[in-house]
Amino acid sequence: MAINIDTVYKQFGALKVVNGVSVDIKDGEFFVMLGPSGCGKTTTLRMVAGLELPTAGRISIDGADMTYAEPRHRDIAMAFQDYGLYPNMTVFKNIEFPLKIRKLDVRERARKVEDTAEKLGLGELLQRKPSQLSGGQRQRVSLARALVRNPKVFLMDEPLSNLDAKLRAVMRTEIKKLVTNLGITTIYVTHDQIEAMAMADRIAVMSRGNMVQVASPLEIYDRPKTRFVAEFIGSPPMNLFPAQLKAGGTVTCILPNFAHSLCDDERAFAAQIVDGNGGLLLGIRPEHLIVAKAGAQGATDALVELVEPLGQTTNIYVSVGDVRFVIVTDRTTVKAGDTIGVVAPSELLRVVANDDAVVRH
Amino acid sequence: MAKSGTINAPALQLGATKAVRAGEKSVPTLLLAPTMIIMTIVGLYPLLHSLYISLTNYNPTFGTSYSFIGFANYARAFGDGQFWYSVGLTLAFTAISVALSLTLAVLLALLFNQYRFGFVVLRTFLLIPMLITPIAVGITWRTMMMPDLGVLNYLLSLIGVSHLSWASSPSSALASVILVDVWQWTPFMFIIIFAGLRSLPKSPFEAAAIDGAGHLATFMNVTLPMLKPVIVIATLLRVVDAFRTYDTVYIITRGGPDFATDLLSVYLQRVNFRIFDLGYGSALSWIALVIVLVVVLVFVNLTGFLKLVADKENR
Amino acid sequence: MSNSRILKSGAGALAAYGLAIAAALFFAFPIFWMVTSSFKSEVDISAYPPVWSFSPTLANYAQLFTELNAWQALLNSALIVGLATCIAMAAGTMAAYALARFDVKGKEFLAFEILSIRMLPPIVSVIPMFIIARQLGIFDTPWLLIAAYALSGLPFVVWVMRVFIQDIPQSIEEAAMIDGCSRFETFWRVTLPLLLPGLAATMVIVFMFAWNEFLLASMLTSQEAKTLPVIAANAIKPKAIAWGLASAAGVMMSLPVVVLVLLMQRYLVRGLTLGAVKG
Repeated sequence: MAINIDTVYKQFGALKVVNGVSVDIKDGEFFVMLGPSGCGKTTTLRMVAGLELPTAGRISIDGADMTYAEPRHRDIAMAFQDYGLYPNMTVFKNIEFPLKIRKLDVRERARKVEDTAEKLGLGELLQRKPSQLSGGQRQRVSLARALVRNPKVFLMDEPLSNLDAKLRAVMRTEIKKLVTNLGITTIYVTHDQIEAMAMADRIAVMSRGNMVQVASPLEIYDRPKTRFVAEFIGSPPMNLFPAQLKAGGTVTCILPNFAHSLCDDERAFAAQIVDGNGGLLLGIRPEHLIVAKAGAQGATDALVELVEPLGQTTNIYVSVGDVRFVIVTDRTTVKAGDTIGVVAPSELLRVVANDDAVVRH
Repeated sequence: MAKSGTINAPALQLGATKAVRAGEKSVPTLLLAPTMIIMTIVGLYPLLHSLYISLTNYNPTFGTSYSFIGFANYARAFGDGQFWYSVGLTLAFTAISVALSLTLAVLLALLFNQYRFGFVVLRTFLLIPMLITPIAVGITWRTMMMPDLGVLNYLLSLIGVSHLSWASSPSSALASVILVDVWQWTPFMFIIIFAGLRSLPKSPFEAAAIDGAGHLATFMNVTLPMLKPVIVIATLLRVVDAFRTYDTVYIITRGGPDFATDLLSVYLQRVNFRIFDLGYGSALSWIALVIVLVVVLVFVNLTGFLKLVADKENR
Repeated sequence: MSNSRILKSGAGALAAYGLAIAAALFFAFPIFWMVTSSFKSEVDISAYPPVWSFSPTLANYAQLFTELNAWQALLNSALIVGLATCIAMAAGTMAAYALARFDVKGKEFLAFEILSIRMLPPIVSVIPMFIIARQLGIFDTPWLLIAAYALSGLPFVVWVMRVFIQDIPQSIEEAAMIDGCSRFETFWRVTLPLLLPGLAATMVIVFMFAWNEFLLASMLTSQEAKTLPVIAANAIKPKAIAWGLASAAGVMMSLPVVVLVLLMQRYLVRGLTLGAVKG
């Protein structure tokens, strides 16, 4: 089921928590809203759920206007951060609840509950109460309860943040598989960029009530539009340098040999940034920088300040004068105090806006 | 190196988003209606009526007609020595009784905070006094405090203390009544403070132990500050109730001897329902009400009570 | 452990038990006295030095019903207090739910208003109630006291139930609403079962305060609607004070509440601390 969010605002007093968000979510898409706490992602989700009413704007589900409809009339399911399980009911009764409300008959209900429980590996736990379950098990009950109804839309509000890292990785794949198999349109809210990258068909990076960039994970990773997005995704984050647009469509920065010729689709964007008086930045991912010998042709000499060997990769923190940045390479013999040459391939440099205001339309 | 993912965005307090949902606009009003109706009919209306009566000279023993006399009753009240004596007596009674109860309650809470065998049972005995009907409490203590036949004087005589006059002498009557009040209501403060004590986190105490603080230092610097909200609530509730003490005094001394225990409620009851000077009595009641409000306001201000409550809400 | 430490811990334990037992005795003795007095005959009761072992008699209790008309008072108390408690619980819990779950204009002000009822010295409202009741012809009827007690119970119910409701995470109610429940269904199927311990505890306390109330009851009744505390006080009035009878009245009055409260001990602590404790 497609979801349309049209210029939605949510205001508490003077505070604009959601500031004119518009997006079309396609049927069957796994759509992730990513951002730090306070960016408005959860509030937007809750408005789609019907747990909050927008101050302005419209929300449609499957073409029907649901802006002011009650949650129970929207045919959605939701998984909460603290699971929202009914403490005084068994796992079976928890999962059964939505079916009971819809007045399905007893045998039908039992069948569906058992089916869904099997799918989520809860078969043995059906008679336990939530207080007797581990975090991961509770999470699966919460998912089972949501899926047992075969909803049109599945909303998930940071469902994995209360789990430990290992469990999170495991549950991540399970959820994605489940939901993809069933073809349910999903909106997933998180502040964890790895979750977002791993699971999403598209990511909406949000900040201060706005969707700063909406694109596929790789697109966001390769071509972040603003400093916020560039630094939020990727660890270590993208290196960014204040830059200038030269006549002839070249962008240069303070570092020699870090220069980029704009290709056609970038020209408009760069012009937009400069016209809007936002700062222009030149950015490059740490793993795209190449380590060469000091003084090599086309390389910029840099002083190595710190080397972090992480096993699979190595982080090299360097400085050129006052400018500091990071390189990620394979195993290396470079050590602190060395001077190395750094090559920044022109085609891997990106034009990035310093200010989110530029991208708001 | 810039930190990824942390932006100075204003934090969203999800607890505050109790927005009205579709079709729920009238629900809160409906839910609050019964309470508001009861409050208005049974609370506000009589209160305002009382204000009106206080401006008249209504006295049923003189018939059902009465006339409006403006603030004459209030003027009379200001010159009524007996009334102000009662007020002062009640304030003194409240202050002493609550202070004693509070101290005793805190000490008992500290004592019973230890996990010893049998303490749970002993604690149960502590609870009972506040459950007993105050009239029954009055009856029992009056029996026990009889100077010639009472068991208290008997027990005291066993250890060599001579004949006390308890509630029958003006000099010791107030103290006796305070004793009864402390006996009955310390458990109330005890429960609240004890529950507070039991729920305090362990780590500050462990930190204090490592820092080398002794029992007294720990109590003054760690326990007491953390107990403040609980102590404030218990004290406020007790102060308001102590001010209204009536039942036990009615049974034990009826306000005597020689008006030694003529607390405000007792005096007002006499004016209103023995003499039936209802106009005057209403005026006095209103002045009493104002005094209570002032006491509460002073208390609330001194202890930052409202802030405590508000903090809890915004969690 | 060094010798002095063993000594200290032994002495400490001794002191602790000593103090604890002393405290328990202090608070329990008068009750013990009241109960034993209620079973003493006239002779035993006025004996000095006081009698510690005696043959118990039920004469005082019998007298309660014959002389003081305790039967009617008992019925009155049960009916009046029971009904008032139910009204206060119903209205108060609804109000508490509104305050806990909805954004109401002037919410905190409203909450304070409701709370301020508690601070009203009853004597202030007794007079107008007395007058109005006579005018309306409802003096000495149960309805008057029921209304008055319902009002007295409201602030406590609202404040405490609000805390209990806040203890239930909103996500559970939201899950129910998404699962298909209306607001009312959510409350009935999900919130209420979780609220039961809190409701029970609050109910007992509201019941207790109304049951033990004397001032309003004595002023607003004369023949028909007398409650237990009123008739107990009557045992004191005559010149020759009937101690046995009074003690029996005291025991009978206090028994229901003591039993109820002891049964519900665990839940009551939470309510009384008004949430200031766990926060």
